[in-house]
Amino acid sequence: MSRQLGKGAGGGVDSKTYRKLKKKQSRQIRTEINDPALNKDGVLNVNDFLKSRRYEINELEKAQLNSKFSSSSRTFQSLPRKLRRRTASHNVKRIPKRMRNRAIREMANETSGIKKKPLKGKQLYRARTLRNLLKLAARANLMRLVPVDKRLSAGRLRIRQRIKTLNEQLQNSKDSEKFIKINNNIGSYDVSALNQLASPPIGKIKYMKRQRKFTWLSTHVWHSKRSHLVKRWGFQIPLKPTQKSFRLSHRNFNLTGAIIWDKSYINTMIIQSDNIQSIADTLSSLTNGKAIGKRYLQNGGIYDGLIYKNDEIIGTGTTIFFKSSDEETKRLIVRLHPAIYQSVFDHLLSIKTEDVEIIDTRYAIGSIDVGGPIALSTLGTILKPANKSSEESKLFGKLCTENTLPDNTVFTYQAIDPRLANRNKPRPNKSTNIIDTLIDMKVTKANINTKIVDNLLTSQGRTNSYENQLSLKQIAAQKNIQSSNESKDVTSFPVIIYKTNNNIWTVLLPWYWVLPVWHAMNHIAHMNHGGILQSHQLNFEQNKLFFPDDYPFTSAGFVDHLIAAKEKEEKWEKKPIAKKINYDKLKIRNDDYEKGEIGNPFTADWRYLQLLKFGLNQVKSDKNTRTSAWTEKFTRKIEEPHDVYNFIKDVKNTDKESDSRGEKLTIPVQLYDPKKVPGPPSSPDDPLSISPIKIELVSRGFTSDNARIYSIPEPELNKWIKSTNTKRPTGKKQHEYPEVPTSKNLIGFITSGSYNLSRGLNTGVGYIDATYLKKVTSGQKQQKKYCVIRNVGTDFGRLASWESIDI
Amino acid sequence: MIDIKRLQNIQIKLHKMIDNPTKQPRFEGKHIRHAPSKQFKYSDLETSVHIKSSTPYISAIKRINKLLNKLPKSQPKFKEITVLGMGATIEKTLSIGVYFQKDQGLKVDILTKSVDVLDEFDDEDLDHDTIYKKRKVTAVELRIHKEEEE
Repeated sequence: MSRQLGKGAGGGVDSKTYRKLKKKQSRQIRTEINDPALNKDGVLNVNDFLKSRRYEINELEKAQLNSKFSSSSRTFQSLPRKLRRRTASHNVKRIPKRMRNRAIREMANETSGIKKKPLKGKQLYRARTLRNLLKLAARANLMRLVPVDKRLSAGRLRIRQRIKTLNEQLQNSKDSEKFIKINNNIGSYDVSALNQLASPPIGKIKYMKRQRKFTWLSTHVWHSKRSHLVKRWGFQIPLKPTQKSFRLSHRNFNLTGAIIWDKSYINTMIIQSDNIQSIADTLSSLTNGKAIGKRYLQNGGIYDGLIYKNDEIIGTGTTIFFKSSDEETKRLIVRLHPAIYQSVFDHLLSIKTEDVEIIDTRYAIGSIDVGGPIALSTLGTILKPANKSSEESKLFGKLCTENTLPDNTVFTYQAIDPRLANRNKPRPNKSTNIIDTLIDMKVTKANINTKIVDNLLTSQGRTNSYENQLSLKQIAAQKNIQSSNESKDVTSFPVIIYKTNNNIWTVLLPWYWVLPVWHAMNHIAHMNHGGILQSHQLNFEQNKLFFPDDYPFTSAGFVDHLIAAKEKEEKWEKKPIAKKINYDKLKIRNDDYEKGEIGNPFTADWRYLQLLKFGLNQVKSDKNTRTSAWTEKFTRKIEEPHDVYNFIKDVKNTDKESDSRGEKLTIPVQLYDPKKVPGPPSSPDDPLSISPIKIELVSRGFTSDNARIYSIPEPELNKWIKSTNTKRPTGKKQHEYPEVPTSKNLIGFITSGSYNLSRGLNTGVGYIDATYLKKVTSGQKQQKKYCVIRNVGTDFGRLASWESIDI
Repeated sequence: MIDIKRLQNIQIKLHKMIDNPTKQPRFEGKHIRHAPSKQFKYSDLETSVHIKSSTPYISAIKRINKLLNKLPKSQPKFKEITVLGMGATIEKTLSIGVYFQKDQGLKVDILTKSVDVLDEFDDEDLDHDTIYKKRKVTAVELRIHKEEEE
């Protein structure tokens, strides 16, 4: 977009010009045009003549060297950052094929090339055994069999035993139950289970031992070269690209392109029944009565929001409703985060009525998310409809050129193999009015073809889509045939494309079609891939909460906080003493009862806040007259301010003991229910009601995760507001701020805080005590609300304005 | 030269269009406004500016100036910046145009047009779907040329 100016040597010219200039200079050979040797009289001065020639020979030699080294940029350096791979300077295989010849030539000149040593001894033996195993795997593929015997991947079997077992099984494959017969040569098959959890696929034989506990996504190998991955929730999930991508993601998502995610780890289940009432009841109980009515029970009706289990919020999820093509079977697709999937699945199984079937399609339906201005047109480029004249694909063809469409728009159609499709960019049709088309679509529902939905939601349909699925080699061969002869029948698969309120398009497709689509999508210019952190960042920029990080009142969110805290603590422990903040000795305020950092410095300490609010409510006087005192039942008397802080320490110690005994921790907070009147906890085990807010810093400062939120006492408020715009006599801003409020003013924590590229300043989302929120909002309205934010480990606070947000 | 009178005429015309007496009554319920239809074009990033109601006047001028200074010189060549304003921002957009015409002496073309937008009405009765409705909004387009007006 903008040409960056070359700094340093270029002296203000842009890098392109600088390169040109450098090249030009290196090819110039200086000569002495006005030869001083020949004087006016026509007499040759030999001495001067020799000097001149020597100079010219020197210049010539210099120029040879100059021109050799001036253009010494290596092949991999000419690649865009997105295509660069680690150690591409040593290994030609890391360079794209079309540039490899040049790279090999460059490497030949290099003296310090790394030569691969031939394998010896144990390593050679291992490689050979592995080859034997792979031979068997190839044979299984050719026989169109997929081994499903769990023992093969179990840890106990050594490689030789595995070869032996597999060999025996293959020989008796006819009557064996240890294989699944498949309809293609590349091992794609449907893994789903009725009324029980499906067992994870064992994966490619070469890698099966590595995915015993954490299943790989189908794009795993692609991601492992370009992303950092995390093992969580039974999957190996891309965390973030290896390339720095904070600004890149923001720009691609909002301005210049799109971000793409493999979201196959978001699990899908299908609830189906002939009786629509049963489906309606299930949906109602899942959403605690929020999704009731025909809006959610029509073809393509989407609910996106909180998911409940026994009236208790456990996370967020999406549901989509479809009727089958014969209108008999009604199906509800439920998509949930893997942290809550199993518990919801088990819960639904336990409450379901006879006529309801629940199908686990975790490993059968994959999904790709794309967000950004070119997201929809990219989908139109890659996923070409199999039947161009069908109503639904015509409609998609008309609308897919748009930047954005209204929320809850759904498309369904049969797409052909993207590797064989003609990937021309869809062009906007001048004669169609987009808005009229959208209004028509709303009425006629021509965007939904229930036959195609059936194909995706039934095991038979998905299996059919894998029929003769081609390998890369076969694709290359097919392409040659296609270019010479007429086109053949191309395999196709069903897709459901929908958009919820986060401006991201989700594509649902059969699990083993994710990879071909993924490869094709990543060839589009200005398309970058993302991981969990990018989802979080883009949510954060819209001031939205991200599950599970920003849901501390759910068990998944609470556990997430604990894990993050543990990680942070371990990192802190490893630092040398001089380099780590001593949180215990932190002096935030001299007249405070709390010494050191407030609560656990590695997390948003909700337990501390809950106990603090409980304790402060018990205090009767604000003066300290005595030391600690106990009741007859040996519990601490809470009457004076210092008692509260000692009490918190007591409870935290007992918590630690019960934690080490393995007792289940209770979540100290709950989401504020607007129907009830909030109040401080009535006992140390009574959860505190909290409510989500967004904050924005008023002047300077930065926000980070776990920052502490303080309320500002009335007399202090003016001082704070004044401090943000006081100026020195010179006209510059004076950055002097009042002292941080005392710990009894603590009202909450920031769960995600950072620099917000959309706003151009620091913002955050977090939760505050609902009692405080109610007190402030019930009074005069339309007033800006302020709080003080203090980051962990610092002794200064910054003024911020806050607003409550919807959850 | 600057044709302030013509600008005023345009404004009056637009205001008349806004206060159209044949305005249709709106539906019940929550009104969700959708942006007009827009196709992504990479060159738009370097040549067009949309004025929102929240865009500060000075920021818009700075942004247009910046784009004018680095208009793509290689193929395809561009010699003008398009500034678009819709509905309530027409006034602001026009005053930006006047600034470039008067203070910087650049050639500015002004085009009026109407844009289709989509309205969604959600009556919060979950038994039926939201309703889509088309609405026409007046809009103005400025073409700010890089060369000065003769």
